[in-house]
Amino acid sequence: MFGNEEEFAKAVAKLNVDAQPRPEHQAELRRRMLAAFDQARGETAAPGGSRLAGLRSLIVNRRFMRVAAAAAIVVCVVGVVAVWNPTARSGVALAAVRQRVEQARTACFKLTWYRDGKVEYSGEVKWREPGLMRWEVPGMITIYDWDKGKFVVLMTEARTAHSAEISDLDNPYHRDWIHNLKEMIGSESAEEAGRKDVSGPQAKGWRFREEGWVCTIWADAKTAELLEVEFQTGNTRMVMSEFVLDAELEESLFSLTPPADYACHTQLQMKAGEPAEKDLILLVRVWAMGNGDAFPDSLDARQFSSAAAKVDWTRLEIKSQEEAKQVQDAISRGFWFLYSAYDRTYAGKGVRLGQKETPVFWYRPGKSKNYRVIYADLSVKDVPPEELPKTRSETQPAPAGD
Amino acid sequence: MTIGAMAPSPDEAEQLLRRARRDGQALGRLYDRHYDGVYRYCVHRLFLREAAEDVTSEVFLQVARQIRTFAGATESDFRNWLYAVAGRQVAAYLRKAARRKALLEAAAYQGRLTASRTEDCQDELDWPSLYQAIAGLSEREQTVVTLRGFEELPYEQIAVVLNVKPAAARVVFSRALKKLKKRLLKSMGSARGDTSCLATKRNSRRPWRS
Repeated sequence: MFGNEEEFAKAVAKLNVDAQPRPEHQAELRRRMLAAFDQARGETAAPGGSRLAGLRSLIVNRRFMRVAAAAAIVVCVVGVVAVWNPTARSGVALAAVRQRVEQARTACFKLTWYRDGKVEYSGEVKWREPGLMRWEVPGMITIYDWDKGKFVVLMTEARTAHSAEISDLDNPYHRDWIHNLKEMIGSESAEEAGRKDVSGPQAKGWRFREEGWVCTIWADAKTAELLEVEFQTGNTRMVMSEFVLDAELEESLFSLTPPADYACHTQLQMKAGEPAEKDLILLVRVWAMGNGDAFPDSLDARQFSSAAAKVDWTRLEIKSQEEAKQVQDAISRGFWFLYSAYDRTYAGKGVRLGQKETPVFWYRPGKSKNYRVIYADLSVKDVPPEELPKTRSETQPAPAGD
Repeated sequence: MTIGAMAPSPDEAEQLLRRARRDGQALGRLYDRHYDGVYRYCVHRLFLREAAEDVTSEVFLQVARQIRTFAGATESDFRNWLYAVAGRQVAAYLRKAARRKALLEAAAYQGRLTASRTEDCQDELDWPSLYQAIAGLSEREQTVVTLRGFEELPYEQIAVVLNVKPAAARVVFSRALKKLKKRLLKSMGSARGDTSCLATKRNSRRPWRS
């Protein structure tokens, strides 16, 4: 029997372990892997086959609107993740916390959004590697499989399910929150944030600053257990708290198959693509069209489906199913763009579509110092911060709903 | 890892990795170079060929989906990533209690066959017994034992895979060996004379071929 590493190596060398791979498996897997690579890259992705019966039915049977509404729900919840902005690793001060988080195989925590200091909504999140996540807010459960780009939204009161498969999730921010948290802890930009009490234990904090966001991580000063993570931008604050790591979580919690008593309303496939400002402009245009040519009071995803149901789609001059699919995808990307943009303001309440020189939405893109302002006539201008309109009535949309 | 005689230089390997993010052919070459290592790692963690093939498949399919966003620059980074992905996929596979049970049953069955063939040298270590003992270790210990004991990776590389310091990896391995020895001695002592286990399961699983 072995007593040390060297003896163990000798014992292992004598073992009769057949670790020779089968060439058939190797060749077959190679083929599957390259096919998956091509598909992920979009080279061999099949053109988006429309499930719509025809252009006429597209316009009159409201299926398009249902799909767009489901897209709104999905991209809303997905888009929230895009606020994370991990930086390079190598931090030393956070090593103990990072090691604890890095080792976690499951995590449960509470997620609370605040706006202007008031709770906007709150929910429970469960996470399990690799990339599985379940987020519950009143009336809605969203289950994610980030590796596969698959999502299902369960509306618990209406007993309806909306599933989606989003390809091209190649943006590193489009990962589950714990993945991104792991990336963030250890950032070179970490700075000490002092100490405070977090529900009992004395916590030590570290702060990260990222293009308009400030993130603070609090961990037990003695045990390095993660206690709380805060994100703050403008008047919006997101807090992850009450962490429980490595709890036993049933696989069924992350099932993407809706319960038997749920009606499956939509099964959406879309490409994440590169969300663009023009997609957002199309989204707010459609929204206003469904609202009697007036911009809605707020960009609340829960309100979009009812507005979309009233849109006269012929005004968009859609001539084919392919064009209809493009519009649908653009609206989905518009939501994605909307919820991915931080430092944003909506001021469209009471404004008519087409009004000149009347700003309805502005946001600061990436590292730009200036803001992009979208006007009611759908024109866009670059505006320096000091010349922005004063209104800041709507900076953060509500969570998605049905 | 198996690197053939035609292994590229470090510079060429870095170029290959860069190209693999957008070029299927380059990714295929990387696959050819690393398939054996990943498969072998999975065999040592999962005992059964079928299980090892399933998990190896998951590893490379995940690589195909995520290679474009992989941030590493060197082939060593890529190899570490592969082992990290493989470790997670193995853990995910084993999380299903039924699968773990099947693997252990197969090992137990194979172990009985092995023992019956080697009655005159019962102190010899056999693979099924060792596998059963390894399976009783923590996930982290299993990973270190496999990477160090079977793949003979340096501690520095194991440390990267596990995201710990090399010294910590060394300590984990040392402790794991002590636990293994204890478990094996215990099981050898109790198994001699025990001929009853798993008789009913004998034909229900295809054992690891030895």
